[in-house]
Amino acid sequence: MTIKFVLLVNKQGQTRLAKYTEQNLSVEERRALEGEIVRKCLARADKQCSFVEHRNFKVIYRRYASLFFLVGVDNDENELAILEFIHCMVETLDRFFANVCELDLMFNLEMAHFVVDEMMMNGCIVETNKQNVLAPVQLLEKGG
Amino acid sequence: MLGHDASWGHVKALQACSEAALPTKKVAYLASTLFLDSSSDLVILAVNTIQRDLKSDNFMVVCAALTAVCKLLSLDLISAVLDPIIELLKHPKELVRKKAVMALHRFEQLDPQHEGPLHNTDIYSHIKDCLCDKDVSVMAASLCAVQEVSARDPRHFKHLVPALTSILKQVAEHRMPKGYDYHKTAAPFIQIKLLRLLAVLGAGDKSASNNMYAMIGETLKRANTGHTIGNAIIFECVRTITSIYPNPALLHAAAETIGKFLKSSSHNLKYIGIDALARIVRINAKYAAEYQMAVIDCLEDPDETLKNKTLHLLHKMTKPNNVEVIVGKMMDYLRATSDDVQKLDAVKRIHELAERFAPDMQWFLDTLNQMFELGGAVVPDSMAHGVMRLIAEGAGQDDAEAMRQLHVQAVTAYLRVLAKPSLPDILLKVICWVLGEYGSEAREGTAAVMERLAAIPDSQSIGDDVRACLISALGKLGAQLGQATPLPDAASELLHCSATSHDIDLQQRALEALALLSGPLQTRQVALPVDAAVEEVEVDVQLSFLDGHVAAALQEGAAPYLSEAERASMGLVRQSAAGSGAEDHLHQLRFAAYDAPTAAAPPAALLASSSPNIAAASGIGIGSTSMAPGWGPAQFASSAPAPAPVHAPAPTLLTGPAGLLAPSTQAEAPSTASASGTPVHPSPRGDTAQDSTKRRLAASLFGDGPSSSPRTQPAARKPAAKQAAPSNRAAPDLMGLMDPAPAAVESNVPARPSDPFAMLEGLQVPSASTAPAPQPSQGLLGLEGIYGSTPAGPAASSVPPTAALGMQAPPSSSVLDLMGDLSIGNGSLQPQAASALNLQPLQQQQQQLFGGVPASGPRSAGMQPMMARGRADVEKAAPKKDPFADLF
Repeated sequence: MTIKFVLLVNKQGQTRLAKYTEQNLSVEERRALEGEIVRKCLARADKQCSFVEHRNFKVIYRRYASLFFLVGVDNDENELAILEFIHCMVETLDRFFANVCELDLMFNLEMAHFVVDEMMMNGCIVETNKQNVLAPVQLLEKGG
Repeated sequence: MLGHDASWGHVKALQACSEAALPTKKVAYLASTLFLDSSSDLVILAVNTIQRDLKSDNFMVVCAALTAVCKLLSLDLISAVLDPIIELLKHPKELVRKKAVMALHRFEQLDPQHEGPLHNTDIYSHIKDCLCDKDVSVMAASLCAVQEVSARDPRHFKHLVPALTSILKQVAEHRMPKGYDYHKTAAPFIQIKLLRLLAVLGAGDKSASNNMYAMIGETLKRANTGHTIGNAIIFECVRTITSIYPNPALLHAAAETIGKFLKSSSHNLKYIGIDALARIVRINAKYAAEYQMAVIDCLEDPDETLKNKTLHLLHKMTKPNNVEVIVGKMMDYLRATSDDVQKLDAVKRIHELAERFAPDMQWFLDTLNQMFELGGAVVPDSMAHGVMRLIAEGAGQDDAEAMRQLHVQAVTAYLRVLAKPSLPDILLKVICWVLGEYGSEAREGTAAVMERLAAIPDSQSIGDDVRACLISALGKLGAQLGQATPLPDAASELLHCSATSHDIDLQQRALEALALLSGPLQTRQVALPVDAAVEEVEVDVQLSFLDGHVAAALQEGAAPYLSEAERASMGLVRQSAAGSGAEDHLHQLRFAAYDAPTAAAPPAALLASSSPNIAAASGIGIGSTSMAPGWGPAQFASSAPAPAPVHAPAPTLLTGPAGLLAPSTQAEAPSTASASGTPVHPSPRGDTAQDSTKRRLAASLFGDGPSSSPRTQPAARKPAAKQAAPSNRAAPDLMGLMDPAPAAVESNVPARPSDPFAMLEGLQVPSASTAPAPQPSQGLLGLEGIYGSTPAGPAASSVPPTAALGMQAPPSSSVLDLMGDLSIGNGSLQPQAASALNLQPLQQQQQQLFGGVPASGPRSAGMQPMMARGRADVEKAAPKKDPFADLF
């Protein structure tokens, strides 16, 4: 029951944020993996289910406007919970950036990373309370 | 990062971690965690910063460091941060406590068996304390750690079941702070975590499961909100219900709710429903029947994910009566999918089902052949071997006629398959083997089979390994042809062609086959028997057929074979093997700071307590500048055993037979000493290349650790007298050499200046002050033995060769005694030792020496210029005044 990676990819297939919890892949391998997964997910119709099995991962994806949120998990994870976790993540980012868009993530990449880091550690969901997640990040923003 | 190579920035990122400004530090840590992982060599550079930041007063800094700990540290580095992190579990800030418990979770992942750094730490009680934390977020985080431990071994937290159910009750009843609610559902992610934990703890445990039933039923009811997150909780409940000791009422409730999922129009819910149904069916198959139409719908769905999931469900529902249909569906999927991992998964399931439920042999073979054909490269070799074994041994039927029937079936089937184009390698190998073994039973006759085989290279594109199988098959069939029938042209052409192949294996097989086939009939039939694949081949592991050869060799004077253990006990093992223990010790990381150098301890004391090797090295000026100020316990530890390699060769050369015990192993230190033109410097490598065998050998020869070298004389002439004092201590005591007591006694003993010849005389005629005087020649011998390969100073050249030879001549009767004597009489022997030590044990070395080093007296004054060149720092610390001057 672990999350292997979180990817934010836009419709053109450009990676906007990538976070791997098991970092045994080289840069090349990651690029290849991201490409394969994104192609697979982009090809799927809305009506199909939001889960894709790829290699030994299960990728759970959700689309928000032009941005895809992809979470790779192992085979023993509650898919619906992860689907909702993605939404929770988006809500949190939304609250932090006040109506988040792709540009916010591009220009505040570190903040987006901090938010994801607060919510997820060692491949586990640790925090879903938005106040708790945002408190340290906002503190940092004020300090900086 | 984002697909770009940023390796140029890795070190910069690590460097920035130690910046004081918090935003910079956070970003630097973030970058480091994105760039590096725990397997990176650079991580060690961050350890110090992390250690410091964990102790910071600013909780944000501590959090940043803890996040980095979770992502960067590997198993070896845990011990560097474990204690501070356990302290942090009691930190007033809940954010820090949360991160600290996640760090424990990470350590638990890295060291699940507690064999490494967690060995002596009661992680479980710490985790339990966090579970009782008053802050919800810390409690929720500790659930991850509990889950991690329980998934491996549920016993540790079994007793927590009542506590966990009561937490679940509180959560479900909305008693958590509002902030945890998600879409009006009470802390769903905590609920899911708790349910998952209960599933692990209640698995196969009736009493534990009994405590959960009520609460799980309650949760299931409450979660029925129709929202996705509610459905996620329902799904988790179903997973828990199917994993704990089964309860019919709950199972029924679960089946009812997933019925809704299956009938829903959402594909996500259908998917989840299929997954849940597969879990329920495992416990009670009757529920599947109710939803069969829904299942069939999913199977027909164009969505590949859903189809695959449904096949998983069908796999669990397979029975002998439906195996053919289900395997057929799986074959369709196998044909359609392109992902290797999915293919392998499907292949495994088909194989398992075919093995378990095959209605008859023919079907099984056909299925597997089709699987090989579709699966191609992903099919593991073991499956092919399984098929071959099955064909060779049959499936339990002992009847010879039935076996023959099977073989004929197989051969016919494979000859048919062979007609298809582009078969995968693995199938071709099976075909080659089966036709090679049983081709003679084919209706078409052996020659026809051979022709078909020989045509394979034309019709298929095959690799050398398939070709090798092919050659073997042709060889076997050729042996069965009989004397009269010649090889078919195509086959013999293929054999001859392969005999000149570049592939060695192929060439060998072809040549062997050709040689056997051209030999007499009996040879062929013995070497390539018909249907002998099942016969046991006895392997003589003792190689007893070589006994005669060994005996003959021994009689001709060959050395008998020694096992590795025997060689080790004689000190004959290779250096790397013997030294591995010592090196392991060296490679262990130390995270505690080295002791600060104390001003009170003069370098003299350091020198006196360190090994002669280092002392000598510093005396000559090698690396002394870098080593002298920072010596801590680690340096002592590593340098202490070093004298052994230096000293060991001396007795080897001097004592004749005894020295044979120390052959090649000591190659490193002595050979560098003797091979270099100026056999003066002990190899600096001697310090690091510790060899426990050498140490043991030296200890057994000398009964003693190394005494310190008189070569340090120039550095601190007065304390030089101390140096010999510890020489009669046992080797392991080296670490404790700091004791200045004996030195204080002896430091007053006068050292007499004299010209070299006088000194030699003094050696040979024990002076009055050496109270328990050793026999002089032996004394010198011993000294030489000890100092033999330490650097020769200027004094050496002044010793006449004859004297030197004379000193070497007497075989040492008891080096051990001698050492004791020496250490007592050391004070007066000091100057002599200074000169004697310059004698190299090897005659040629002496000659080199005499040729090369200018004559000078053993007096310290003569050495002064030499020291001045290399050892400024020691010089500074050494008494400015020549202590000998007092004595003179």
